[in-house]
Amino acid sequence: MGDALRKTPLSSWHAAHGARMVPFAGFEMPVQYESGIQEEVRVVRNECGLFDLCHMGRLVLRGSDHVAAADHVLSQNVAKIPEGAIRYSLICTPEGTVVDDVLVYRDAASVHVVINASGREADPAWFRQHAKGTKVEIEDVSDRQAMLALQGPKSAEILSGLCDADLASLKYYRFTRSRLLGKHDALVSRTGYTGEDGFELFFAPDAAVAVWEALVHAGGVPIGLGARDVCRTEAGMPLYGHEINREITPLEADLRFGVDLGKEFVGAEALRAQDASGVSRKLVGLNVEGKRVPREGCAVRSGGADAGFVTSGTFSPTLDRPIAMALVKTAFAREGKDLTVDLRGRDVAVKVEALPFYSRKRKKKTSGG
Amino acid sequence: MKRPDKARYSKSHEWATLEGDILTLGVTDWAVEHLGDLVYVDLPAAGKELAAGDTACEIESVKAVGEVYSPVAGKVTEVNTGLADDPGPLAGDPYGKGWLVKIKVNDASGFKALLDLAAYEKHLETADAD
Repeated sequence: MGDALRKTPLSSWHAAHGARMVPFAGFEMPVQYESGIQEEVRVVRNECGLFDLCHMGRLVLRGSDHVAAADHVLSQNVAKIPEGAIRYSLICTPEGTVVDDVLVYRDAASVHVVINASGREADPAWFRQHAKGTKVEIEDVSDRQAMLALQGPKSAEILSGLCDADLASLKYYRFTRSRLLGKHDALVSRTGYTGEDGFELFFAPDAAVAVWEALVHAGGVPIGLGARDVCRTEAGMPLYGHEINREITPLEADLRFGVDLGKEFVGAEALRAQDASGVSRKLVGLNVEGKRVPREGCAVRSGGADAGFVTSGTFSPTLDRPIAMALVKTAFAREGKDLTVDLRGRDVAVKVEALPFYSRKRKKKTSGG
Repeated sequence: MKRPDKARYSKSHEWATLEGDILTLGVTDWAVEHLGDLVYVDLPAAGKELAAGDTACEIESVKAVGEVYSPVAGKVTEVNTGLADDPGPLAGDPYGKGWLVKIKVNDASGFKALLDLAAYEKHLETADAD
């Protein structure tokens, strides 16, 4: 074992309440609680799951050049984000590959950036390096804020009793300021990483246990990182280090919606060139024959020829079948294309399937809602 | 969960019993617990020849896959086919109804090299600290 693992304000609570704790990005985090991953996924899809995200990183950019500085580093057009709104964005290398994926919150006089736990060292340094010579203060507030998420159809109902904000009027990818339990100032956003409706809460870490326990009491069910990963895979959402990394571009990973090629930013030139020539590989879903699960790194082939590799794979409790995402050569990426995955030495038949595997809107449509 | 005394154990968390020349192979409660929610067991066909150390079958959970290694060389004579449709018995009764495969042993030396219960439980003390 290497360096001591860091704890969130809730690590001890998790351990005392039946969580199996694992190392994740340098933190001691719950991978699951006693009911297990499948039950936790069911809760998120049907009720309300509660997630400790205190390990994630958060930066605040302020100063007269803060929007320009953010626009130089981020692929999304920050100047065009309305105040109170949130956008998904990438941080790219000059080659157009991905340093991290983030959510950008545009506030009155500041920009808040929520970064991955794995980017807590690299991302602030990257911002500072690329902001040299501009009037911007970059503050890392990760350790001075707790971050929790409520995800699932009952999230608004459960949060509304504990929060002053008018949640019904808070639209998707918007945020507001509120108070939790009548006394803890908080930023509340309608965002998440599960494919469900839900909220993310940012507030002082010394209130973390009180707020968490109040949410549990109101019906929120603690969910570990295992079910979180299953939910985001079902929803076709990328995870840094898997679907995206410093060797994969956002255009390859089907994240065009997070990139504004009409503005200048680090990586824009390379991405415009790639956009003009067309991507040579593309992120796709795989519909898997049988019950064996393709896992990250498995080779994908077409008639024996190399077609690409699996980036994430899991059993989907919601769909009751294995699902996987893969980065495959564009020639093999069209929907319905028959491919094989080398699953530990044995080929399994797969078909290219449109992402996402699961969409709550589609589910509602098919059930007549 | 009480682990049977008469079984032998591997450091990779298989258990095995030997009656005559038929070895019964399964995985321990520790393995089951650490795999998490089980969703599928991929069993070999009866008649399959295995070398010592070969993967006898695979256990899929939501987030992981566990490969089950044969400690001996031999031929698969019987598999617990019900587990392919319902891994429940493996989760609930890994030393009984959750057995995986029976192997007609060519060479039992691999079985004799396995740990006894006390040695396996000592191994778990270090494995738990991983």
